[in-house]
Amino acid sequence: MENLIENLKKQIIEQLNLAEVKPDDIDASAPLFGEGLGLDSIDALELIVLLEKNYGLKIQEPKDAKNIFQSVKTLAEYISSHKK
Amino acid sequence: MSNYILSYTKIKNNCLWHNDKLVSKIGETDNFLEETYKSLDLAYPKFFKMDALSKLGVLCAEQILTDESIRLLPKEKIAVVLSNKNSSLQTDVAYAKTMRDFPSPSLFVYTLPNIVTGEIAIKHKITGENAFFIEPTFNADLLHNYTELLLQESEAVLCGWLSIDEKTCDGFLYFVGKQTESNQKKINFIKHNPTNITQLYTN
Repeated sequence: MENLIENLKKQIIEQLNLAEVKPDDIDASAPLFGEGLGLDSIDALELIVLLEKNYGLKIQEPKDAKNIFQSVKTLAEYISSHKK
Repeated sequence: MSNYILSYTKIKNNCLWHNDKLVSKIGETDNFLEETYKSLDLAYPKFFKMDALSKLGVLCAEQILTDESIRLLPKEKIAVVLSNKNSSLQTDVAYAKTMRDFPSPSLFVYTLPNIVTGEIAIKHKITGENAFFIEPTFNADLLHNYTELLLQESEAVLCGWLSIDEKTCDGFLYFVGKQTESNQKKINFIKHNPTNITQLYTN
């Protein structure tokens, strides 16, 4: 799980062009949206692309997205439990 | 009442100029816009998410719109009139390439030329009129005429030309407004007319 979280941090920085953010700056438990990294709705779409492109995962139920994208940790837990 | 060019910026040949003063000069690099951003110490992380056209516009506008005499103008009375030759072509092509695989949402939102207007307006809270013209070359007559029309209702207009492709980066923004008590001692007034606009652009 630790490796997955570290990889996710790097992938999020690259995918979302967070040029001034380093992996260590990201608290894995901090909210991704609103506070924390302060991501916006376009970033949410990029995260969906990241999930599909890097992990082959599609979120089937849109209502689940809020919990999955709560933090890097929740995202890692979703990937870990759904990756084939 | 006559209108005047109160301030102007140019980005060309890896240099950023404000009112004929060199603000930033970056050596040969593939990341000129990003390096210029760092040299200005802007602290605006959203900059890195923008496409090149928006980055060019934000960098050019920053010098003008943070000037104290301009910063205090009512934001709803500032209009923005921009122009270029290639629209958002560079980003359009980049987005089209992603469509073969996973279409990029963050590129898609920049596939219109007037997004740069929005980025400038968001950063500086400008809510006045706006327009973006696609012209084969820099057209001082068009910009002048449209700006004069807008100044019947607006206090000031941010105008110019923002052109970028893989080889060239050509930004020229200027700010047209009226002479006021607060700015008259600070500014070398340049009368707003096509000849002066062309001269500032080509010099």
